[in-house]
Amino acid sequence: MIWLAIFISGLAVFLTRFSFIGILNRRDISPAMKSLLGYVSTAVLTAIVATETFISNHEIDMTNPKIPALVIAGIAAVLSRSVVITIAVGLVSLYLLKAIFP
Amino acid sequence: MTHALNHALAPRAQFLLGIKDQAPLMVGVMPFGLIFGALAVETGLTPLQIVAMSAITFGGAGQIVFLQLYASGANAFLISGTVSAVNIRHALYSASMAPYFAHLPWRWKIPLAYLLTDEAYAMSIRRFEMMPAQPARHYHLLGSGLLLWVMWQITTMLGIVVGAAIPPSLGLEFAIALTFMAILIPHLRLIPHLNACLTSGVVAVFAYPLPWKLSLICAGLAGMLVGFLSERQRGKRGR
Repeated sequence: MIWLAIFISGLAVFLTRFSFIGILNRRDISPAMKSLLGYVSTAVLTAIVATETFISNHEIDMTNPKIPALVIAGIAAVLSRSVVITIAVGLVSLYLLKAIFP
Repeated sequence: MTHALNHALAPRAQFLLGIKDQAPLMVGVMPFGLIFGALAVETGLTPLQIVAMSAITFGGAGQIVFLQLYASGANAFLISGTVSAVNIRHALYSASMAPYFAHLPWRWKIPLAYLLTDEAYAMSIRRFEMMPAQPARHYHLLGSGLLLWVMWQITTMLGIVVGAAIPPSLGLEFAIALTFMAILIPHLRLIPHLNACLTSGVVAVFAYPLPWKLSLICAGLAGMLVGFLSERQRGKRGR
């Protein structure tokens, strides 16, 4: 039973990722489609960041220390343009905020 | 972070750039793998089943959902259906990547699709948009995806053997969200992208109670639509 679940879910996840890559065989897509797809990364990655930052214990939590940590890291990202510095500033801010406001 | 490259990089250079771009994300991915491995042992899976799941499914959030459902006694079809629903946003990544891989043969399309996780997509799409004329760009996703794959398997195994050595309370997974934000920020100077971001953020938070993490795909589609309409609106005004 569990092996069946592992194989079917693995296949389903692969087919989801393969879907459009598998269908599309030419590079030129309509300008409207190109424009729409240009927002996939912004829209989906924002959804992941927003969920991780504003939800805790399955509820909206506006007092989550991740919110100010994200803002501080955002400033670091603008100034440094470095992913490594952004992660470091974000995590250190989160720990300091948790230590100061337990 | 932004190297505007005008010359075409060789496959090897793209592959190494993919690994280099993906490396910082390991801060968040490694504890996640350990937690998954340890949690799977607690749920009662055998080491072989756990390793097989990490290798076959290769998707963090979906694998955790798998464990929760298995523990609750759900059957194989309910488990698979739910894991697919949780990962449905990957279809959008596939659509977004498809034009870049359209010319490639199956022997490339299949492994690239298999490696298309949130983290690999995020790092590679940024490079693809930044560097338009790169014939060997698929090697970037290969490098970035393979580093992620190898680390995911190693940390899953470590999690099985030693348990979650890094306590979840450290919140190291936040590193993944921080990286995504760092990638997003340069786009937000463009008004349609800013509108897409605000829409998606608000929808993601308020649609959170939906089952199977469907809030993510709802937020993604809403953000895409608003970005698209906002771009068209600005285009009309400009003419």
